[in-house]
Amino acid sequence: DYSLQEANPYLNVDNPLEEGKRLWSLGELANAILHFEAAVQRDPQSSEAWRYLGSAQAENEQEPSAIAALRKSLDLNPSNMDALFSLAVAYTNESMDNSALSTLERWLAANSAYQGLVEGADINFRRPMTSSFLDRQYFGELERKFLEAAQRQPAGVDATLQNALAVLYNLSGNFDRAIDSLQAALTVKPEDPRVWNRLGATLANSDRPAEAVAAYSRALDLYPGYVRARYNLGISCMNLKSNREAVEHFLSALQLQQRGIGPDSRQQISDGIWQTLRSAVMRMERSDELLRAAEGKNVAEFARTFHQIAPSNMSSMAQHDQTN
Amino acid sequence: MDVPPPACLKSPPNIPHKLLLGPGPSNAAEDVLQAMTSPLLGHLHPEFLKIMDEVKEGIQYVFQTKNKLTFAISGTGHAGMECALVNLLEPGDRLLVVDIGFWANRATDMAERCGATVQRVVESPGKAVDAATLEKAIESYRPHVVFVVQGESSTGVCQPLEKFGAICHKHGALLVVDTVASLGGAEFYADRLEVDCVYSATQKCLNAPPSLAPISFSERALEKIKKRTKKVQSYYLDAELLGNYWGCFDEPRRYHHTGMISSVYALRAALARLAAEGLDEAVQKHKRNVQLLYIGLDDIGVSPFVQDETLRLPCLTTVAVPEGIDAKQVCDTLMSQGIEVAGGLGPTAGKLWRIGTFGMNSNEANIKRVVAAMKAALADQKHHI
Repeated sequence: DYSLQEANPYLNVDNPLEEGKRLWSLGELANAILHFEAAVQRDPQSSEAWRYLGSAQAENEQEPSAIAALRKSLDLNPSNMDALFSLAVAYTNESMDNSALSTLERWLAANSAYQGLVEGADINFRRPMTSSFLDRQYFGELERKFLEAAQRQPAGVDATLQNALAVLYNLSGNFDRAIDSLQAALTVKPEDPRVWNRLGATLANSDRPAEAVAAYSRALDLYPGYVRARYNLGISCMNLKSNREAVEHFLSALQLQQRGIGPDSRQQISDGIWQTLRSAVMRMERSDELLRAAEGKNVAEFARTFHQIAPSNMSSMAQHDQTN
Repeated sequence: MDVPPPACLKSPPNIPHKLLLGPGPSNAAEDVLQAMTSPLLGHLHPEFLKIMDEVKEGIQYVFQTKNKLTFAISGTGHAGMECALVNLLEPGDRLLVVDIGFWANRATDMAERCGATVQRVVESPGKAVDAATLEKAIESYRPHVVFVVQGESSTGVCQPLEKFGAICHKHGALLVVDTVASLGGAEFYADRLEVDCVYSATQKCLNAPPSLAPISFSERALEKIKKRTKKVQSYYLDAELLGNYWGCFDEPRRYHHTGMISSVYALRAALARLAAEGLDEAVQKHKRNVQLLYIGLDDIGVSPFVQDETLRLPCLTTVAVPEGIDAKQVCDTLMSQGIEVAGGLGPTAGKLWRIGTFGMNSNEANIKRVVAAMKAALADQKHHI
């Protein structure tokens, strides 16, 4: 279930949904989320408001909240394509492979551009999810339908279909095909930071770390407040054994999450990021003091301790403009 | 002084507490460690000889054998392997090794040092050799001795042994079985299986410090030893001499070497624990608990390396490393939290993790803890699309 912020300064603004969308388009993620939360309190039956909230929380690297909001959106409108897509992405990240497959199938069914590929009886509770492991047969059937859809692309490249294909191929581990799809999507949307992040994550998961870093950097150039991309960049640093830089990125991500609600509020802060930050700290030297600070989960405290103990020597990776 | 007193010995050693869930040694039980603090006795004092006799009975119980030549070698598991081979092989003998992982290499090395020639009957990691295949290999190679590991700790396979003894004897060969990683965790009945020599170690399911290698030789094995044309080239591991020290024969005991007094106390305590629990119950316990581990692993999106569930060792689970994951990073992360989980060994290096749940370490709390730690460590490496 979705858990709302208690002290939301935007609860009574006019038209919180529109204002949230505007802020989001400007990359002001934390404040956009607060507005979306106000919107769902103003109008709890709005599938659209819940969907915006969910998608924004995913970018904010708050996957459990994203899933809760997106599920609510779909309860209200089971054919909300954007919600279905975002939810499929979230399930993929959480390794809930079969749930991701069935959500992608629903997405295709709801997609008016590709009618008739999915029979009505197929969707919803189609098979018992006894294991998180990808059902290869189900995957094969769905891949066929998606490829048929791809053949029917109306004019040139349908970026949303290509993104959905990329998610599908991430599930099965066909990273090369996922990368092809994302590069196709980039031909029509070269400045979409979400696609760049998705490309980075796909490259990273297929063991191409240097290219992943380049893709994340592009995503962050376009959208400096993109918490997810910054988190991913931190993981890349860990993969490349640059633990100090990894911690810097995780700290930036946490600071971004905090914007708009004040330094002492802990509600919007992601446990997931703290946990990974802690792992990176454990691999650094002089880590005991830092580890204690990490366990305190107070962003300002940790930042103080970190800059004292490990003063910055900015390398090219850390040079991405960190909004402060 | 030519060599001054080491400064490093002036301060106490750094020995952190860790949860040892690797392939061994496992954590030692409190009462077993306590037993080691009992006052020393002389290695030929009657009180100590009585303790040795009690340990012998315990070993017969845990091997499920009535073999008279049953004792504990002063040395760890490798000493058990060496003792078995050095007594049963003479230069020019043929050894057939069942190769399902790393331990075949060790046995081959040791056998070659004995002057024996070695052939292998091989299965790939994760699989076991079946009786029919073994029989064909024996028919063609006519070995004097066949060597097989029951608990293949490099792959997580528990090699089935039914019919192996009978087949060996039909063809005039002796059967040697290594139960270092399986004794007390998987079913093993030495006499029923017609095993000629079985050995194990103290530091896995027995939850004792690494120190001794329990071993037992059948009548057939003893006959071969007695018929040797040359002395066993190792005095220290000569089974007849050791058998005398351990009172296996009706003759006065002679001084052979200084027995490992405190380690024998520990082994007695470990065997007493196991006898109290019951061997069958201990095996069932491992099987029950490992099911929880399989469920936990499935929940976090990883799977056991050994696909055939009937071939899995209940006290050591191998886990396949998913694509794109840095296996060592996971081990390092867990170690920094005080949990040891190992990577692969030999043919499986880099391909899997090994999670040992030996003896008292096989319990729900440990399993939940290691699964949660692995879940977090894996999440740390996942990039989010």
